Parts: sequence; structure tokens; C-alpha cells
Amino acid sequence: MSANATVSERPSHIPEDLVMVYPFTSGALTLHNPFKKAVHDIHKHYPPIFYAEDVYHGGGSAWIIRRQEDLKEIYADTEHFSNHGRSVHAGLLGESWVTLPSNLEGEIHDKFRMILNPIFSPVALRKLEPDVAKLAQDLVDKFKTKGAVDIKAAFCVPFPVSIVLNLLDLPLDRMDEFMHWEFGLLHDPNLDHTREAAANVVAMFRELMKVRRANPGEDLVSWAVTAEVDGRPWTDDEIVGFCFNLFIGGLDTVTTNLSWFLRHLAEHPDQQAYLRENPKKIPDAVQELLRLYSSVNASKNCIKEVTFKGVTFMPGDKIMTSTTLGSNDPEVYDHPEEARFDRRATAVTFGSGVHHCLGHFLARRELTIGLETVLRELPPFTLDTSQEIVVDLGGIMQPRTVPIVWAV
Amino acid sequence: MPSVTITDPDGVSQVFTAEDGEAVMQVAVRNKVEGLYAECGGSQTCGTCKVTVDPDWFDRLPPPGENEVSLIDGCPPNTRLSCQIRMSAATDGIVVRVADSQY
Repeated sequence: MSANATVSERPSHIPEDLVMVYPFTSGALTLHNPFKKAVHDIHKHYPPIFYAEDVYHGGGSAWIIRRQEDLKEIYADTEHFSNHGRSVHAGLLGESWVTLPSNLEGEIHDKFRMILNPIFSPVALRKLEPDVAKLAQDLVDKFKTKGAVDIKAAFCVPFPVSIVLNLLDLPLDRMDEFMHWEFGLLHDPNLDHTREAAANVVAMFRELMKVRRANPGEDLVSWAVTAEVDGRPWTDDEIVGFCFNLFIGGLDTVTTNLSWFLRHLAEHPDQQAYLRENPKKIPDAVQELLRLYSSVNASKNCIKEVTFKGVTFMPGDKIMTSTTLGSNDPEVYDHPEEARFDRRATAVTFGSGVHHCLGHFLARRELTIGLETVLRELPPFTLDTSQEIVVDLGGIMQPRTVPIVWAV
Repeated sequence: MPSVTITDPDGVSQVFTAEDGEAVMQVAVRNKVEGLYAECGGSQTCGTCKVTVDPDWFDRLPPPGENEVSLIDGCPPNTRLSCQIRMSAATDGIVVRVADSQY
């Protein structure tokens, strides 16, 4: 638990016997890999639905859903559960835009989603592939002769950042600035820094809108300023919400996945060798590693009282949609703690229902190209066990470093 | 009960019996057919339950809605989301193949 967590008052409808200590609270750290044991221990010892207090930074409790089947039902149930009104960063700025489409609901959500689907489709993304492959290659070229690197800092962070810069048609020399903002938005414990980063990101997008309206190009901002919904142009706030979503969703999650995947391969030389010999199996490996290392633990709000599997949720209750737990449910997977590249199983890594991650095709292509490039360009690598690896728990489970070594 | 023939990406064909009104996607998921992920559970948002429909059957299906079109646009001919193909007397015996790649 973080040092400054405050204990909130427990609402009266929460049964005492369902209140559990939950290890993955925001702000908590560990030196262990939680996907090896801690995640699976929760499945072994905890009830299917339990209540955890102060799981969010600064206090805030949530129901935690452990079983994949239950999670899918909640994702599908838009009558009782909603994503609406959760644009935290807009709130910090005193602004009212919502991240789009993830925090919209109902008919307007579906309209935006329908317009956005083709932009992030496999067919559209195929055109980006040569650029993405070159960005990966250029990054690896910078360290491949060194014999040791924190591959998270050198690759897993800048790779998705450079792709988003590319999608926005911004110069790659803004990478450091972007990485600084990303840290501010998602990882800096100081709320003033988070607010400042959000202000910078939003100001950049408002400025970009002007520039691209005057002089449209092939990038996503140009696309958004000319796009229509419901027979009208998008409002400025809608464009900001969409761009912000791209920024926040496109950077940290891919970084997280890639960091876990490369750490896994560094610790499993047999699987690393298998993928070197069978690069065509990399997409299957990505699918399975996405399952095992599902890292995003977002939440929904209960909007209408409901008794679900014997537990009563009241309006205002937060429901944690833990993809980490759902994708490691032992009732769905035989030995979920094992990465089996031939499993080819579905999971809830990208959520489910109407808010299933819009960027999942892009994420999958990035992860596949990222692994292909690293395995092609680096000789067999292992984890540098002389260094401690700190892991951030909570909303996004992420190792802070992935130090690897190889023979040169 | 209507039946459906599903071929997985490795070329293995199986015939499954379906409930009336069930989607081909649900039949595939229930029987753990490989290569079909159906991550969104039938909400038409993920595009990971794509199949190609046997040409003899393709034209007999009701046309895709706008939402489905937004997810299959540019895919190989005869592609449909299997969550949008409902089993009934009219689709009894339909033959589909799981897309080589959902991505």
C-alpha cells in the first residue's frame, strides 16, 4: 500500500466477509514478477468477487472480479455498468472533453466507433508497416553492439512513441518531450506534474488542429479535423478527446506488453531459441504472451443496482475490470502461469464488449514487429540478474526496467 | 437442429450442431475452434471472429450492417464476422473457414 493512501469509509452494503486485502493497488511496488505467482495465488485463495479497499492512489475502493466469464458479462452489460464520465485528465484541467471513444456510451459511441474502426483496421495498418519496421530497426541499431542494455528504456518506451509521432506526422526529434509527457500523465506520483503534462498534451493537440485545418496532410489529426459524425464535423473537444486517447492508449500499454515479453524471452532461453528458429510463430507467441501478461486493470462504474452472482452492486460502486486476473483464470486455462505458444487461446487482454480496445490491431502489429526485430538483430540474450527489477502494480502492471545482456 | 461446417486455419474441418438462433461465432467458441478469438463477445467491435463463407452460401446471407462493414472492409472476398451469421433452417449446412489471420 502506498504511504499516502487514505482509508475510505466502507458503504453499508459491502459484506464483511467479501472484503479482502488486494496486493495490486496503485502506488504499490514489488521486486517479484507478479505474473509468476501472486496473480495465480489470488485465483487459488480469493472468492470470485471480492471488495478491496483503497486500491486507487489516494484512496478509493472497488469490487474485483476474478473470473473471466463474470468479467465478460460485466463488459457486455451496459445497462448496469458504464465507462461514462471518467476522463480524469480533463477533470484535472477543469475541462469537459471525454476520451473518445472509450468513455462515450450508447448511440454516439457506436457512431464514433464505426467511423474509427477502418482507421485502425489491419488493412489500413498494413500501409504503415514499412515505417514501423524501420523505426524498430533504427532503435535497435543504436544499442545492438553494446552487449547490455535496459531494453525497456532503449526500445519498449521509444518504439510506440515513435509510431504515435508518425501517426500524427510530428518529427521524431520530439520523442524526449513526448516521453516526458507520457511519464507525467501516467507514472509521476506528483499530481501537479500530471496536470502540467495533460495541459501540454492538450495544448499541442489544439495547436495541431489549427495547423492541420489550414494545411491538411495524411496524419490522424488531419483526418479527424475533416471527419464527420452524424452528418456534422467533429467538435474541437471531440478531436481533443480522440487524440488524447491515442496518446494515452497508444504509448504506455504497448511499452508494458513489450517489456514483459522481452523479459519473458530473456528468462526463457528455450522459447527464445524456438522463436528465432520459427519466426512465423511470433504472432502465436504474441497472442499467448498478451494473455499471460495482461496488465491493464481499468474500472467501470455501476450505474444501476444489480445483484450479480449473489453480490449486490450499488450505483456509484467501482468495478475493477482486471484483465490480469481474467486472462489468467484457471477455470479457463490449463496452467495459466505457463506461456504455451501453441495455446492460441482467446483472452480479455483488450477487454471485451463495445469498448474492446480500438487499437488492438495496431498494438499486435507493433508487438509482432518489435519481437521480430529484436530477435533478428540481437544474439541470444538473458536477463541481467545482478540488477533488481522494480515492478509497478495497480492500474498498469509494469516493470520499471528490463536489463538484458548478450555476448558481443 | 441446424449444422455448420467450420474449417480452422490448419485446414481441419469439423461439423457442429447449433442451437436455432445461435451465431456461428458462438458455435466455434463453444467447441474451441482454433484461430477464432471473438474477443468482444459479439459486440461488433473487435473483428477477431472473421471467417470466409463458402461462395455458394455467401450470397444467401443477409448483407452485413454498417458496423460489420467497418470491420471487414478490405478483407478477402466473402469475409464475414461469424458473430453476425445466425444459425437457422435457412443456414443449415453452411460452410465457413476461419480467416488465416484475424489481424
